[in-house]
Amino acid sequence: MGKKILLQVEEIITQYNLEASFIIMCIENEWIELTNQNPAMLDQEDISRVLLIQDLKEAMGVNDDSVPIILNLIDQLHCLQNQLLNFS
Amino acid sequence: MKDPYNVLSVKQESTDAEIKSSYRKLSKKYHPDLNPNNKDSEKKFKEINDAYETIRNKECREKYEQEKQYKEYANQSQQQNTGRQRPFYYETQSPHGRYSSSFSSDYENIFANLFRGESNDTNLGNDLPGQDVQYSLKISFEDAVLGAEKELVLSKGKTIKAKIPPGITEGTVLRFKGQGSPDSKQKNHGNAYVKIQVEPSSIFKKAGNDLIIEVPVTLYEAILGAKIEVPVVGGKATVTVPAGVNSGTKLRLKNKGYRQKAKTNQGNQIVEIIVTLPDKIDDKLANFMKQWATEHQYKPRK
Repeated sequence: MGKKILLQVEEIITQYNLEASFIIMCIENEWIELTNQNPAMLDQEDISRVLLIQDLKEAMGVNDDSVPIILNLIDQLHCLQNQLLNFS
Repeated sequence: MKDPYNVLSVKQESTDAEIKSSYRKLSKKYHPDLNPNNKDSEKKFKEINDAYETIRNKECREKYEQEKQYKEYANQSQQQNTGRQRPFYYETQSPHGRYSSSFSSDYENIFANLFRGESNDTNLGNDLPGQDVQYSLKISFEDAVLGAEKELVLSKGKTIKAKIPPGITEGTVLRFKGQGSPDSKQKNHGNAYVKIQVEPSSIFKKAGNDLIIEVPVTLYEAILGAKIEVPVVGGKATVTVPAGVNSGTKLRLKNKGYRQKAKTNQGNQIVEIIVTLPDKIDDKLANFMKQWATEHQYKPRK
């Protein structure tokens, strides 16, 4: 695994055309967990997760209640995939 | 840039709601996190996003129509509307994602069983214990009374010698330890349970631990008495019929009952006498009885 790149929230907003309120909403709903609290920093995994959440809500019309369920299922799938790769 | 209307499968007259509906439908179909490692899906998803950004509302559509007239539009819009360069979630999950790792302990044992053949507490059907097996065995009345050794054919052709204890009753279940099906490792076996069915006897009736048999005797045996042979379980026995015996008289053979081979409560065999006249009464007998009747009247019906 390569070196983790952490970006501050301000950088993320600019680079990925996101709204600060959206990132804050993801944090408050515990859909993402910050790698660093102070200053608030996100790694690539968090950024991709935020973008996925945005796609779920805006591109696919998923409501807020369904977002954590879908994230949970996707995470379980990735875990299973990785476990299978370990044993193959 | 591809025609956004074609990409979203909508018409130029489509409303904002229709365009949005089509955009959402296609997003669900092509999103890379729902089609991980599929580069075609990723490319298609980007096209869909670009197209939506271009014609999402009336204002955007008018701007698109104006800019379409200029040759530079194709190059410019490709740079402007590429959409963000972004990581997709699935790209951050291999080899290990922070969020997906929280499930790893749930599945590790399962896959350890499947791929390494290790045993642990997780039972997936690869760790089945030995199973008990049920059988039914029909035995003769004589075998039930006297006991016997029977060969029992189990599943897969295996046979065992089943010792039937004397005096066993209908419905008794015998347990044969370790004669059931083996576990997945062929180490531990379950038990075999054999339910006994006893064929009824054609001559003996069972009354508790006693056996009752009706024995016909001749007129003269009844009057004069006699030693007769009667059936007993497994053979014959001699019984003394006392002189003057009537039908219904019960003679007892002690300890010759159903449990005669058992140590306790053996029961008795009861011989019930049935005085039987000859099939044909000849004239000599009839005339004798006429004479005898006039001299020896008695009233059995009181």
